[in-house]
Amino acid sequence: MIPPFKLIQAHSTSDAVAELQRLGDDAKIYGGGTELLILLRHNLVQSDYLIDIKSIPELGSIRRANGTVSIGAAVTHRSLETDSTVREMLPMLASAESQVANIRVRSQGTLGGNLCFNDPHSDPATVLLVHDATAQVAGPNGKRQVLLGSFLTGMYSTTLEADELLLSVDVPRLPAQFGGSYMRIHHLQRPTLGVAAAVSLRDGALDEVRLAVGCVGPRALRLEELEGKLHGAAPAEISKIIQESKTSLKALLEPIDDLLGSAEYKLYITGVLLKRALHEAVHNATR
Amino acid sequence: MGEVDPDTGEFQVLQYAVAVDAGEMLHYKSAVAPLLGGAVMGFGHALFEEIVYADGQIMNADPFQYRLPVLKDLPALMQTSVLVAGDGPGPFGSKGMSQTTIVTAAPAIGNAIYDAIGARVRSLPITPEKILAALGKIPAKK
Repeated sequence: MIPPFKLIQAHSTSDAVAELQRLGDDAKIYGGGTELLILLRHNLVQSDYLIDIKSIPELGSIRRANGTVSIGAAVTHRSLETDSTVREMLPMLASAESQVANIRVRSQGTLGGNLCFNDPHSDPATVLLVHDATAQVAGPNGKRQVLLGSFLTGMYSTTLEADELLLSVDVPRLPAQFGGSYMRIHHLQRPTLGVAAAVSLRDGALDEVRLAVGCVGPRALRLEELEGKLHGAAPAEISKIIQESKTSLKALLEPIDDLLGSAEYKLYITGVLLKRALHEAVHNATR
Repeated sequence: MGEVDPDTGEFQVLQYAVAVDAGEMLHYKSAVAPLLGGAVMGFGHALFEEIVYADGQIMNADPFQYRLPVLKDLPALMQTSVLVAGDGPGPFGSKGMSQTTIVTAAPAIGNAIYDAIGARVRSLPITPEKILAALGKIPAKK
């Protein structure tokens, strides 16, 4: 049973931040509730107040400005899956969102909730890292922005302070000559592995490479070292370079044995999906 | 008939057929539905279901972690054959049938995987990880 709590309806972002400041640790932000209600029910989180932010118009909008899509924190996965702007400008994100959990969770759960909860077994963060997305955060001292890679600090943790609210995620589209690909492996309720790749080509070789892996490590991570090794490589060399990077991937991702499989298994399929995603991204870049 | 991805160990049943000796059946649809339902439950035993313990605690006692077959696990084609010879010990020559198809799913799927990859997985459930281990791509779990 969920212990009793008081629901506070926030009407603006400043309203929500003021409530957070007033109530401190006793309050939690309530968006879709798909993660929060489970935690409350299992008594893993205690909260006397829930601040409902769903009716703040600013947080529910998807706005397009130049080459960037600004996604409000309370936008649902289902909206991202179906929105025409997202599908056109961020097809990799739309594809990843279409695979999140099931349609009931997608209709309820929000992007902001997903990122703030930062469950390592999640799809959107992996894609957003490849897009170099930025989180817009509001607090008592005004707004700040932080690169998503720095916002997500570890398993179930972010840089968000107790009195701060995630407003939106600004996602630049991939530059025109880039191809992208998101691939995942999924057995239980949450994904076992997610891999996002984006590449541009120069004279048939890989030019800029962006890679991110989610679910296997404590948080979604960019693979900067591997990206550097792949720069300038021919597509035919991808397989060999990934094979040679197994040791550094293991050190970076720190896979563990759990219900989703052994660390060996996770590392192996990470290599397989990295190769596949890179080849598909190359294919999409040359189209 | 099934399909194995040799790189990831992912397995999908493509076609599935059951044949049951019913002796006698009075209502075709009522007889055939549990045969198919039983087969699907058998997919669960063969491919997914396992209670995992650690330090005396069940680690997967909720539907988040305990996987049952879902629609995407089913093949496009499932067929049922029922033998009716009136030679059983029950009323009108019937025999016990119902969900007897549960028990044959794991051996059938194990054989389909062996047919596809030439390697045996000898414990249930047959997970992608065990398939990769059978193929020698990752070390077998102790």
